[in-house]
Amino acid sequence: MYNREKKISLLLTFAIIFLSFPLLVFATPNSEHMNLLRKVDYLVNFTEHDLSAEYTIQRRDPGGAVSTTVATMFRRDRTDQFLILILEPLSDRGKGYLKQGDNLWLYDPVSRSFTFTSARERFQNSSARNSDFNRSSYSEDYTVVSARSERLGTFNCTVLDLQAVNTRVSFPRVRLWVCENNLVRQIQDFSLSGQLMRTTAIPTYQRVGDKWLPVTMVILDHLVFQNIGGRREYERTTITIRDPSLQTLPNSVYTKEYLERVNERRR
Amino acid sequence: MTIMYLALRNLFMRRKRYALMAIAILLGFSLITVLSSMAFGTLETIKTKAARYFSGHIAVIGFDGPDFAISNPDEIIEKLKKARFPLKAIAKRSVYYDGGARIFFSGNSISQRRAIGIDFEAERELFKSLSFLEGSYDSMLGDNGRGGILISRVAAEILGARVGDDVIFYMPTKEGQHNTAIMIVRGIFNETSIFGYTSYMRIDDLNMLHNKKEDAVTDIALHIKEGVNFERLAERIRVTLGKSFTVSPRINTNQDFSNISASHPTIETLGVIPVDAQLSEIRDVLNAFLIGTYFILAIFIVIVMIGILNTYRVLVHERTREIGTMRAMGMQKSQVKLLFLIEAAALSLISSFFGFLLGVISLNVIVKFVDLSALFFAGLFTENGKLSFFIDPKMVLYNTIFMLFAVLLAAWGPATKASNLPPVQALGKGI
Repeated sequence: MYNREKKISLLLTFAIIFLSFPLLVFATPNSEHMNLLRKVDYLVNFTEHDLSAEYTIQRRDPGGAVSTTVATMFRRDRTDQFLILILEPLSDRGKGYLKQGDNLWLYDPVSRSFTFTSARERFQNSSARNSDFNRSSYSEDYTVVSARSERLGTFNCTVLDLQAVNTRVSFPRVRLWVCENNLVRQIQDFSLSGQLMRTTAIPTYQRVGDKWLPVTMVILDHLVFQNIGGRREYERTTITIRDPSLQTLPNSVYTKEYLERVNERRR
Repeated sequence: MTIMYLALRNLFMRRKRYALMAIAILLGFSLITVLSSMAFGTLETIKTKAARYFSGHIAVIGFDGPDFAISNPDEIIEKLKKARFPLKAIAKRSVYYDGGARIFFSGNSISQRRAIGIDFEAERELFKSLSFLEGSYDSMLGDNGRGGILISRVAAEILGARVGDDVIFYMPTKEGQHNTAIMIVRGIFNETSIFGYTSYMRIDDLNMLHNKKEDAVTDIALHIKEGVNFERLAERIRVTLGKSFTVSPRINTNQDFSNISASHPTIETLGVIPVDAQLSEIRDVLNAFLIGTYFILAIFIVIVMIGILNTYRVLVHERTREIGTMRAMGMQKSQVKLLFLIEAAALSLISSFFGFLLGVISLNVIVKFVDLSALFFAGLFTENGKLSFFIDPKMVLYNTIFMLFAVLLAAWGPATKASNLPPVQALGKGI
């Protein structure tokens, strides 16, 4: 009787180990992929230095109308701060975005007032969101729900399906194409219900110190399009980043006073 | 009685002399009837539209921190029912107020000032007057309405959408994340004004988009019986609810509403808001219009008064011998004065009556034949491009009294002069 019970418990133990093996195998890639996400973040975040660069944001409506915004961006990833100063068009010159931690303000030089804005809002009515200028934080904000390999043009990529682990992020679901050198080549952003909202392609990067910064990013808005000549043409925003610098910037750059002062000088 | 008879007889016999004055009073009265009835009708049209948009004639809205929420709507509804207020219907709503909602179709998009989740069964009565270009309100009733949406004419035109089309409805969740749902257009309602930048869907569909519990409620819409003063009733409701729940101070304007909302109450606070408060700016414009119409009327009446004054002076002069005869036959001074005043009063009342009739006929003609749908701004105060009017009995009474007073005032001087004529002198001076 005792032997029989012993045999059953032994069998059960083996069964449990056998059944849980696939789970263990499945769990391993997840942690690998989380490591990959951390590498992705590491390569494009400038935690050691300040970053400044000139951003040209060109929005092309489906059908052809083009509007261009030129802005200077100052970014300090270690304290989660940025300041964007609009230089063109003339009508918006002096406008500024200031991010300090979770707070994001928009400065209007005409009314000389700051208003709270949200990371999910469109940047200057383009397909870019204010959150696109934040430091990369995929490994903090998302978990990998599935992964596969895929070839994207000339790049061999790992495609990671991510799901948000907090409600801070604008897009609850994201799909990333990470190529072999751990740089993201394509991003698809989905709504909570799974609707594809944007596709961002990053064909080229530039090396800045020991980190990487995109040279161009092309964002397609999947909700705004026109059918032209039998083809679906989406609203397209191209962001070009020039003259990156890692020069240390004074703390006063990341303040409301700075935006006010810059506009005082202009007057 | 004899004086009354004499006055009416004089009025009839000298009708040609009085005709010009009668026409002036008649036109003045019909003008003011048309203008004030149109202003009241416009206000009623706006209020009906606003009641659909702003959660009933009186809205009970829950302010909870930065959000809108009512955690115990059934309890509130029970209290309101028990209090036996003059309500036609009570309905729960879930409203997204932040203006970040957007509808996408075929690459086009339109933003929505608010997205409204309603209980279609409970609000059927209020929406009866809403006309549809395509589809219907009834298609949202029951389970058929799940995943359905009613959009306005202005939205349908911009999107190029028709009934049966799948549109993408975008709305941020309560946490601020992007969310979308594919919804079927079940109806296109005929609305081009500011009240057209909204869409109606089921409460659970809206809550799903906003990532809230499916039966979450932000507003309770109260539809009030006709003839009830919304502001006074709102105050009574506020006091009643205040006995069991935390309520905000009285809300009289949009600014009051914004102030309470911006104060982010730390405990759930109910605001009781009459539709007039939500329309305070529009109401101010209409009041200015009414003041304008009364200014026009005042000028008109001054002209009529001068006319009456002059006519009576001539009349008194013409009738001097008649006055002398009446005085010689024993009529008192006061009776002579009364005779002239009754004539004037009768003239005013009869002309006002016909002026009122002419006004009502004009209103019906305007409503039937004037179509303002081509004017882009007319959508706010018209239903399907047609104006509407509302004849307020109180307003008619005030206008009549006003006109009567003005005519009597003009006639007073000549009547006094006539009564003061000595009989001998009057008999001698007569024409």
